[in-house]
Formats: sequence, C-alpha cells, structure tokens
Amino acid sequence: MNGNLETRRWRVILAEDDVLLREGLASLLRGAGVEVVGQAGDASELLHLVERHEPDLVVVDIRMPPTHSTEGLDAARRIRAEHPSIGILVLSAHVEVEHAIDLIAAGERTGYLLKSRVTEVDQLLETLDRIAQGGSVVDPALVQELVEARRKNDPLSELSEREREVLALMAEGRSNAGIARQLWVTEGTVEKHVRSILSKLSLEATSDDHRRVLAVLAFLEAR
Amino acid sequence: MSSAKGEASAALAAVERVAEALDAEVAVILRGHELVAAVGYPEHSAPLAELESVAASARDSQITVPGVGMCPATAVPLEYPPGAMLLVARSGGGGLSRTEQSLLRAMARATSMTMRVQRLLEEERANREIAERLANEHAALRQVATLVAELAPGDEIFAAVAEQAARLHGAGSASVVRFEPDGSARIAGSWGPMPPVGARVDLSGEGLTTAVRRSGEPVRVDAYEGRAGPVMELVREFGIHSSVGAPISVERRMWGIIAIFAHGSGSLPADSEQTLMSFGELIATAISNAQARVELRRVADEQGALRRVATLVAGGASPPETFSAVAAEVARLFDAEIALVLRFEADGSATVVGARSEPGNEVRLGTELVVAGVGVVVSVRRTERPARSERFDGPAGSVAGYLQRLGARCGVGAPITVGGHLWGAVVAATRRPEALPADSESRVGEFTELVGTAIAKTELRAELNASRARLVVAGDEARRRIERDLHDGVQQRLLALTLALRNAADIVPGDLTDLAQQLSRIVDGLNDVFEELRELSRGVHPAILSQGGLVPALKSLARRSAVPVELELGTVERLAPPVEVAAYHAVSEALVDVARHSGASLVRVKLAVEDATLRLTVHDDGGADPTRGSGLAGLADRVEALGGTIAVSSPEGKGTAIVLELPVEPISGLPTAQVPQPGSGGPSPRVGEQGSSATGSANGEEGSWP
Repeated sequence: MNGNLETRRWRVILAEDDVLLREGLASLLRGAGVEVVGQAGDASELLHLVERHEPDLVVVDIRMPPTHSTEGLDAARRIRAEHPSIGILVLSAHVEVEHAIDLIAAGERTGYLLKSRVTEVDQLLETLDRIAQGGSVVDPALVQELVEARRKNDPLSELSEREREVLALMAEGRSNAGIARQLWVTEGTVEKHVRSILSKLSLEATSDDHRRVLAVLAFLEAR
Repeated sequence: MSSAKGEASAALAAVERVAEALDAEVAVILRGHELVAAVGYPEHSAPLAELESVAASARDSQITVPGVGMCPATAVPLEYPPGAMLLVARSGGGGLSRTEQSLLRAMARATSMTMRVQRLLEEERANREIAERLANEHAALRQVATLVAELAPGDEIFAAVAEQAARLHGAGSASVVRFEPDGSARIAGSWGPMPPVGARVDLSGEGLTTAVRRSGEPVRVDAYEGRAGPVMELVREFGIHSSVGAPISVERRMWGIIAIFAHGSGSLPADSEQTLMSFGELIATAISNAQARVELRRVADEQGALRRVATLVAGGASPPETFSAVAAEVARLFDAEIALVLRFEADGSATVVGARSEPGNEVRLGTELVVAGVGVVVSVRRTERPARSERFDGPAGSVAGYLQRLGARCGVGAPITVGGHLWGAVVAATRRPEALPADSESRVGEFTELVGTAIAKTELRAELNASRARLVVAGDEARRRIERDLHDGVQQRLLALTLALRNAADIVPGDLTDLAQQLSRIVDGLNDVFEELRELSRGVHPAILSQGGLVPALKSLARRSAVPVELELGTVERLAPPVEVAAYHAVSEALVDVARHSGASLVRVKLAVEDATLRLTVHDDGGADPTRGSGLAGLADRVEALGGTIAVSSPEGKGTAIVLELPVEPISGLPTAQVPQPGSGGPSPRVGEQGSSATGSANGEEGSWP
C-alpha cells in the first residue's frame, strides 16, 4: 500500500500552523519513508528552514498566520524564485481557482491540493511523487469544478465523454502516460484523444506537460 | 323770527290791495311787536306802539296818519300767521261801513290763506334743498367709501377724496395732509390749486393744520387777516379766503387732516365741519383697512413660506436643500437683498450653508466667515436669541464686514438650535433706508426652528443609518470570525484527528482486519464531516471574498451556478467589506432564485463601479414569477443600511432583472476593515454637506458637526 520506499527518499519541509495537524502529517510521511527535515508554523519560519535545509519538497498550507489569507502562496512564490528546483505542494481548505492558476503559472514542480486529501495517504504520496519528478498537479475537485461549470454555447459540448475525461486528467497535470494508466488504455490512444481535444478546442499542441496544464486550465477558466 | 321771503311779499301785496280796495291811507299787518307789512308810512317810520295798542284793543279807534292827522282805524285778526292783525285807517267820515268791514274781513282771510300757502311752499322748498344737499353729501361719502374699499391708500385715493370733499362743499380746493414720523406735515393728496403732493406744510405759524392738530376737532378759519407766518404766503399765493379742516385719526393717533378752501369771494357752507369730519373718518378707515390688509398679507406670506419649508423638512429634504429654501424664503419674505444660513464652528467662525444674495455679490456655500465686529450674527451668537442690528462693522472675512461691504443698513437674525445647543443662525439684511418691521427677528426665528428640526431629523437618520450599518458590519465581522475559527480550529483539528486515525490504522496488526475496516469507515465518515463543514463554512462567509475580492468570488459563484452565467466584471478594485459582502450575497441569492424559479437558460451578471457607486445587475432570460426576488428580501435591509437600493423588475417576457446600487463608501464612521482602500483616507462627508449644490464648494472634510 505504501509503494516503493526507495523512490521516496525525499527531504521534505512542512509548513502548517496547526501543530497537531502538522505533527500528524509528519508522522504519516515518515511512516511512508519520507524524510521530514523541518516543520514550520508560519511563512517566515518556512523560508528560514528552506534556506537552511534546501529540501526536495515543501508542503505548505496556503492560510497561515499572521493574516490567515495567502501567506502560503506568497511563500511558495518566493521559494520558487530563489530555489527553482524545490518542488512545492500548496494545501488549501477551499477550491480557489485563481490561487491554483497563480501557483502553477509560477513554474513546474508545483501542486495545488485540497487539504482534506492528506488523509488519503496514497494520493498524497502520488502527488508528491509527480511533483518531485517535475510534474504539475492540480486537485481533481478543482478541475471538476472548472469542467462542470455550465456555459451557454459551451465548447466542451463538442467533446465526447471520453475526451472530457482525458481533458480533466490533462488539467490535473497528468502526462499522456499517466492518463493512459488512469484510464487503462494505451498511450497511443491517449495521444489520439489529446490531438482531437486540442483541435476541437483550438488549443495549440505542445510537448511540454507543464505548458499543457496551464493552457488547459486557462481555457477552462476563461471559457 | 323773520318771515320767509315769499310770506313777506305776499303780506305786502295784501296790504297794498286792501288799502286800494278800501281807499285807505294806511294798511298794516302786525304780529306782536313785529310789523309784517305796511303801506301809508315812510319806510321805518310806522308808529309801532300806537298800531300795537290799536290792534290789541280790537276796537275801532283813531290813529295818526302821516300828512292827514287823526283818522279812524279798524283792525281784524288774521288766521295766519297766528296772532297777526290786519289794520286799516282812512281819513274822513266815521270809519268803515258794514260792507267795507265785511270786505276787510274777507280780504284778511284771503291774505291769511295766501301767506300760509307761501309759507308752506317755502318750507317745502327748503326741505327739498336740505334733502338734495344730504343726498349729495351721501353720494360723495359713498363714493369716497368705495374708493377706500377698493384702493390702497396712496396719492390716488387722497386726491380722489380731496376732490369729493371740495365738490360737495363748493370749495375751490382741498387737500389731505399727513403728519410724518419726523414731526413734519406733507401734502398727501389734493385737488384744485394747491402745492404739489409731498410738499411740506409749514406748522410754525397759526395755520389751519396747526389748529386742527392742536384741538383734534374740526376748525374753521374765516378771516386770515391779522395772522402771520409762512401760512400767509400760501393764503396770498392761492387766493384763499376761508378754510375748514378736520382731523384724520387712525387708531387714536392723529394721522393728518383733510381741509377744504374757498378762494376769492367764495364761501364754505355753515355745516362743512361736520361733513368734513365724516370724510376724515372715511380716510382713517381706509388707512387702517389697508394696514390690516398689509398685515394680513404679511401673515399669509409668512405662513406660506413656513409651510413650504415645513413640507420640505417633513418630506425628508436634506439639510442643504432646507438651508437653501430657507435662505430663499426669508429673503423673499423680508424683501431682503441678502439672507444667509450659517453654521457656527467650534473655532468661532461660521460656515455659509445656505445663501440668497444679489447677482454680483454672491456668497459661495461653504465660505467660512469670522464672527466678529458689530452685527446681527455677533449678537445672536452671544445671546443665543433673535437680534437686530442697524450697524455693521467688522473686519474683512467677517459676516459683519461682508454685510457692511454690501451696504446693509438693517439686519435681523435668529439662532438655529439643535438638541438644545446653538448650531448656527439665519440672518437677513437689507440696504434700504427703512428698517425691517419690528417683529422681523422673531419671524426669522420661526424659520430657524424648522431648520433645527431638519438638522435634528437628518442627524437622527444618519445616526440610525450608521448604527444599522454598524450592525451589518458587526454581523459580517462575526461571520468572518466564525469562518476563521471553523477553518483554523475545528477543520484543522478534524483533519489532525483523521490523520492520527489513519496513522493508527497503519499500525494495526494485519490479522485484525475487522478493526482496520472499522477505522477506515471512521476515517471516511470524518472526511464526510470535513466536507460538510467546508460547505457550512462557505455559507457563513466565503473566504474567497475576503481573500480575493468580488471578481474571483463572483467567478466562483458563476462556476457553481446551475444556470449558465455570463459575467461582465471589468476591473473592480477591492471595496469596503460590507459592500463586497452585499454584492456577493445579492448574486448568490439571485442565482439560487434563478435556478429555482425561472427556467432561464442564461444569467448575465454585470458589475461596475462608477461615481463612487457600485452597480450590480443580475438579469436572466427566464419567465415571470410573482415570487421572484423573495430570496432577496433579507438582503434589502442590509443594502438599505449601507445607503443603497435593490430593485427587482420582472416585465412580461423580458426575464427578471435585479439591480443593486450601493455607495462604495457606504456610511461615514464605518471601520474600513483589513483591506486597504485606495484613496479612502479621509472621513466621509458629514451630514450637512451631502450633495452640496453646484455653486457650493462645501467640501465634506471641513468643519465639524457640532
């Protein structure tokens, strides 16, 4: 259930103002073989720890003291600017599309996940894994909200059921291989779907997964 | 008693006829000691005593006849005039024969009858003359009375009355003279050759005017000889022979006189004094009627002005509207060139909040003037009572100085009191030489009471609004706090517990599958609770609103809407939290409403901020439904408290439109919450200056609201 421990020799820093939650999360990650090198209760402590430990990954709550608004997001942007190689997972209690797009636009190795996901250990580890490997991750619930938003003259109505599934997985930041695994189809089939989708939505094809996520998110948000 | 002319000539004709018929030397009609008619004696030489004794004896006797000597005489009584005797004397012989005596008696009867008829005729004529004169007099007075009723007292009416008086009395001229407050007397109106209207009448000599004024009674001057002074120049210039004057008393005060004059050889009737007195009384009535009318009109004008202002105030007019109306009404009522409504400031100055001034001398609203020097406002401020001033002297930039520069000669003012405290003053001033009426200051006071009421009402309303707005804000704050507590407290703790449970599940020995399954179910249950809590939290207060503002919050609402939404949001800065919350809830409720009732296929949401007002429109293409908008009822109170409006219109076939308008800076004195507001540093305009007029430069931040 915990997968391959060898691939998770990440050094992680956690930033979360609720001590109990932070400790729980740390314990969970340690149990999965992750090395938690630091825990911060607010953004400045996080930045300090990042400087000191240069971790592989940072898991940060978006809402922290002192104002409990978007401190986590701001800290993520600074870390991204100063340490582009550090992967960043931002946790949010609510789906906030603007925040998610902001974060993903900051660069690859970023993820935006609903906080409640931390109790789904596998999902959390998979997310961290994808970020660590250079991917971008967007919470399925957020993608769902974007895809399900009703529009008059909706371009998405052109898509088949399967194509919509593929589009959602693209928006979640999955690669073609990842999508193929999810849907139990071959990568070739996924490529075919992707081409069809991009053409129907008049989106440019790109081999860069990160740029593809951004383009799809922007399209869904603006549609 | 003298006999009438006709009677006398009838008597003379009778004695002549008797003397002739009886060939008598003497014929006489006697009545008591009076010789009514006689022939046979040289004029004025009839021996009255002798004749009397003959008549009284009633017997035949002898009398002395001039040029003849003693002659027998006979006397017979006349039936008319009573007690009169007809007596004849004839020379020679032994007196009258029987026949002659019969003839004498018959002629006596005829004479009596003739004289009586003559007398009656004369009486009749005299009566007719009197009736005619009375009729003339009556007509003249009636004509004057009509003039009095129809015309305001002025040159016209005085001249008309003078003419009537002159004509009635057959006078050559007439005039009405008025006593002026300065003690002089002037011609108020005249007819015939007289000095012009407005000419002074000299009172130093012993003229008619002086005499009437002194006595208070009608006076007749028949002879000017021996009199002195300037009066005589007039008398000579106009050829005045005699005059009659009567007083005009208005409410026990000697107002003036009316006089008629005879020129040259003319004369004035004996009873002129009485009729002239009636003319005087009529003029007095005219004057006091006119004064009453002026007073009545003044009261009516004032009541009208007060009613107009009161209606404004009752209708909820803003103080600036009330100030400007009061300035206009006061200026009009007193015919004053300038009227100001002033607000006293704590620093001793006064701000012009309402003004009515002449073109060229305008005073701008919002001007701050010093209260110093000598003038009405200084007195009102010091005494807190109505005041009047006929002198204005103050430094530049002061109210008194301003009025002085305008050339004001009389000003009145009254304090405006709000809640028992002196708030300001209303002042009216004129540069006309005559002073404003004596009670003007207290009449201004009636307006200041209305002004005070308007201000108090507005203050009360502003306080009420502010307090309602504070309640709304406090409610928002509480909800935000609850949301934060839920997020930072309960939700985090729930997650932490779920995690702990997950960790515990991981270390359950592999053979205890039941326990592992049970723990897993509890984790799932907790996740459901977490979801519910998140929805609840969003309902209490959308975190996205306080974090990102209206644009992301409305986008989020649109994505979740069951009916497609088109947003037209433009660029909207962060607004005051209560405004953002109101707009968010309006859209949220409207979308729920649309989904529930309308069957619409599209909703357009448009948001714009212009002229410091947020305008939000939610328009759907659904059908009409009378229950539409009911979900917004709860929002109306909030919107109203923030000084905004919300309207729902659902015209047949055109869907439903909800229009929300909110001032971006809702109510003064509200906390500007955590979100920094660009350009909202200063306090909001205070009540007194809201919507100040175009000419007003009153800027909201100056001055304080005492």
